[in-house]
Amino acid sequence: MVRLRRLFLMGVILALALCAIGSSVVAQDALGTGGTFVIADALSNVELDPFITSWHSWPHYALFSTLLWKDKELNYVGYLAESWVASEDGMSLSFTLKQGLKFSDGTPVNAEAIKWNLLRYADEAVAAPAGADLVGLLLDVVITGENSFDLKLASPYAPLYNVLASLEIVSPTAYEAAGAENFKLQPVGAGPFILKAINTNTSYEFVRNPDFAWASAEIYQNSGPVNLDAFTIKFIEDEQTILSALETGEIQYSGIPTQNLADMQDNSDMTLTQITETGIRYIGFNTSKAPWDNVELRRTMSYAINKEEFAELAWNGQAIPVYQPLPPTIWGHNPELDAESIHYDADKANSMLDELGYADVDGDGFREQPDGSQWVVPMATVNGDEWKRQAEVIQAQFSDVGINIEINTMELPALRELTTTGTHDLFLLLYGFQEPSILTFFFDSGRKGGSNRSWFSTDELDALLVKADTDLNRETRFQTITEISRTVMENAPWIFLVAPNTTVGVRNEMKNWSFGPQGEFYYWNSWIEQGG
Amino acid sequence: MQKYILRRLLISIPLILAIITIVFVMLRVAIPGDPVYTLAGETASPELIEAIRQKYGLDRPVWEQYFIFLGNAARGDLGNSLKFGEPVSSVLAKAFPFTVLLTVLSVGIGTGFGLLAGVITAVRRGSWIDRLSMLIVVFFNAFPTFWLGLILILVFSVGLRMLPVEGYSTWQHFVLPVITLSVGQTALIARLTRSSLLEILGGDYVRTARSKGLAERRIVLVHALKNSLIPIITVVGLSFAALLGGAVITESIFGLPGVGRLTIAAIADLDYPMIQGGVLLVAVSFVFVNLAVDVIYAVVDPRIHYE
Repeated sequence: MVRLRRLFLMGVILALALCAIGSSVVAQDALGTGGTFVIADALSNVELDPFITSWHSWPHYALFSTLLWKDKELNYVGYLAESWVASEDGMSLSFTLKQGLKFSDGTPVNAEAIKWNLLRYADEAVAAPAGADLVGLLLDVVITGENSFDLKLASPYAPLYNVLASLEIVSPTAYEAAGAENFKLQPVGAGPFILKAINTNTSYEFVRNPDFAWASAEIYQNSGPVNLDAFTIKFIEDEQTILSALETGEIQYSGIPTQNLADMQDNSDMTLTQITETGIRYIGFNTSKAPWDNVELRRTMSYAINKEEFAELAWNGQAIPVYQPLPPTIWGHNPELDAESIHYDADKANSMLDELGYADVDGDGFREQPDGSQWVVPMATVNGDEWKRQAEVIQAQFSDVGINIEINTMELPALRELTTTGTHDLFLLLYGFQEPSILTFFFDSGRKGGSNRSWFSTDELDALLVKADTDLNRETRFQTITEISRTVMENAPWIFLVAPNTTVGVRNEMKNWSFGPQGEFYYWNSWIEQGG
Repeated sequence: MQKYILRRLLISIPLILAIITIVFVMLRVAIPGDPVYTLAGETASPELIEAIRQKYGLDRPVWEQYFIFLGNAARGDLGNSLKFGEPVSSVLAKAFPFTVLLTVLSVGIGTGFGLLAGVITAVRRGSWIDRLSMLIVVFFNAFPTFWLGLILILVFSVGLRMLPVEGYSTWQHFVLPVITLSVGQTALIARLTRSSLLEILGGDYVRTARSKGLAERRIVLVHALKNSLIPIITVVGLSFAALLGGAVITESIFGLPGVGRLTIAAIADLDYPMIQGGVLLVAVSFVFVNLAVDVIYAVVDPRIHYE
C-alpha cells in the first residue's frame, strides 16, 4: 500500500514536471502569426531613401536594419552587429557582423556593404541629414574580414553608438542599380519587412521579409521572421478620423489626443499606455539680440512661468514639468539638478523686473521698457491647436507679471528659417531626440544660424560640449553632461516647460506587443487575432 | 463656335502663365519659410543646410529658377516633389482621378437633388412642402463641411458600422465623402433653382402656355426649367471647378488621396514644385470648365451666339 502510494506520488510529480516543461515549450510555440498591422501616421509620409530624408520613422524601421540598437535599459545591443570593441583611445571601433545576414534582394549584408553605406553617409557631397555626425569624423572603414571591419575616426565620439543605432543600412547593389533618383521608389534593406506598395500621399504597404532572422534577442523572443503577415502605414492627418478608425478597428494603433482620453478610457476594445516623450517643449530667447542678451532678464522671465499650471492647462495634466534641458527619458538627465533650477516665483519675477527698470508707467497692466517706450514681446510659434493652447497659457502667465506677449504663428519651416536669421525674439518650440548630444546641436557656437536657435554660446560651454562628446566613459560623461545642463540652466537661454506624455491606444486583437523606454513600439513578435 | 473655342484656349495661355508666375515669385519672395529647413532636419548645421540648398537648386537666383522651371514645364516636366521625390506630374496624375470622381459624383448628385427640390418648392410655393424644404435646405447649408463629415463618420462608421471611416479601395469608401460634399451643393442648387424658376413661372409666355391648355408638368419641366438653367449652369460650373481644385477638408477627413489634400500638404512643407504643379492644374481646370460652361450656355439658350 505504502509502495503504491509512493509510486502514485512519483507519478504525479513526474506528470507535473512534464507539464511544466511542456507548458514552457507550448508558451514558446504559442506565439500566434498572421494579420495586417495598420497604423495612421501622417509624419511617416516621407521619402524612403534614408540618405535623403531628415525624418526617420515607422517605414524606415520596417525596411532597414541598423548596426546597433538600444535595449530596454538603454544599453546598446547588436542588431546587424554581433559584437564590437572600441580601442582605448576611442579612435577605432572594430565590428563583427552576425552570420547569414542578407538584404531582401538576396545580396549579403557583409563588411563591404556596411562600408559602402557608412562612407556614403559620411560623404559631404551626399549631404545626408542622418549622416551629418559622420562628416569629418569617419575617416575610413577598413575591411578585416568577410563580416568584420574597423571604423577609423578623427576623434573619439561618445554619441557614435547612437548614430550607428540610427543609420539605416541599404543594399548597395540595389542602390546603384536604381540610382539615387529612384531608390526611394524601390528601397531594399535588411529589415523585418519588404515594401509592397507606395500609394503616394496615402499609404505605404509592407509584407513580411521571410529571410529576416536577426532581431536583437535582448528585445524580441523571436528574432525573425516577424509574426505579422503585413504592415500598413496610412497618412491620415485628421485626429478625429484617426480616432474613429481606431474605434472601428480599421487601424490598431494610435496616439490619443488629450481631449479624447476620457472617452477612450471607457473603450474596452483597446489598451491605453502612457509614454513620456523623449523631448521637451521650451521657450527660447534670441540671446544675440537686445534685450535678450541680458541674462538677468532671461532668468527673471523664467520665474514668471508656472510649469505645473502650464502642464495642467495646456496639456490637461498629460505632461511632466521639466527643469533642465534633458527630460527624464533621455540618458544624461540628472534628477538632482531640478532643485538648482529656476522654479516659479511670480513675486520674484515682479521685483526683478522692477529692478531691471521694466515698470508699468501708464497703468495699463503691462510694463514699459526702461526708456519708457512700449514693451511688446513677440513670441513665434507653430500653427496648430496644440501650439495655440500652449502659447495662450504662456501669454497669460507672462501677463500676470506685466509682460505683454504677442503671439505670432507660422508654419514650421518658416519658424526654422526665422530663427536662423537672428532677428527673432522669443520662440516656442520643441525638440525630440534620444541622446544627450542634442545639447551640442542647440548650444554649440558653430551651430548659430542653424540648430542653435537661441544663438547662445560661451567658451566654457563649448569646451564642455566637446568634452561630453568625446568622453567614452559613461560615468564621467554623465558628470560633464550635468555640468552642461547646469550651465544652460544658469544662463537661461531657454525656459524649459514640459515633457509631454503621449497616450497610445492599441486594439486588443493585437497580441504580444510592448513599449520601450523611449516610446518604441515593439511589435515584431505580434499578431492580429482574427475575429477580434 | 469652333473659332470661339480656339480663341478662348489661346487667350488662356497667357492667363495661366501669369498665374504660375505670380505663384512662383510669391513662394520664393513673399511667403515666409524656406523648404531647405524641412529637408535638412532639426539638427542640421549651417553647412548641411547650404549643401542641401545647392543640391535642390534653391541657391540660384529666383529669375534663373523661374526660367529653368518654364523651360522644363514646356516639355511637360514640372520638376520633382521635394517631399516625395517623385515627378510632380506623376504625383498629380495619381491624385487627380480621385478628385475628379469625388467632384463628378458630388456635383452630379447635389445638382440632381437640388434641381428636384428646387422645382418642387417652386411649384408648391407657399405650401408646407415649400416651407419645410427650404428650412431643410437652409439648415444643411449652414453645416461646415468638416463638421458634417465627422458627424457622418461618428454615426455611420463608428456607431452603426455600416461604412468605413477612411480609404478609397471600395465604392463604400466614397459614400460619406460624396454625401458630405453634395449636401451643400444640393442646398445651393435648390435655392437657386427655386428663385430662378419662380421668376420664369411669373412670365408672360408661361401664362400664355397655361391659357393654351398645356399640361403644367410640361410647362414647368420643358419650358420654364430650361429657361431658368443659365444661372444654375454658372453655379454648377463654378462648383465643379472649385472642387476640381480639391475638396481639401473632405479629402483630409476621409483620407482620400486627391489634389486638395496633396496641395495643402505641399503648402505646409513648402514643397515648391508640388505647389506650382497643383496651382497649374487648378488654373487649367478652371479654364476648361469655364469654357465648357460657355459652350453649354449656347446649347441651352439658342439666343446666345459666339463669334
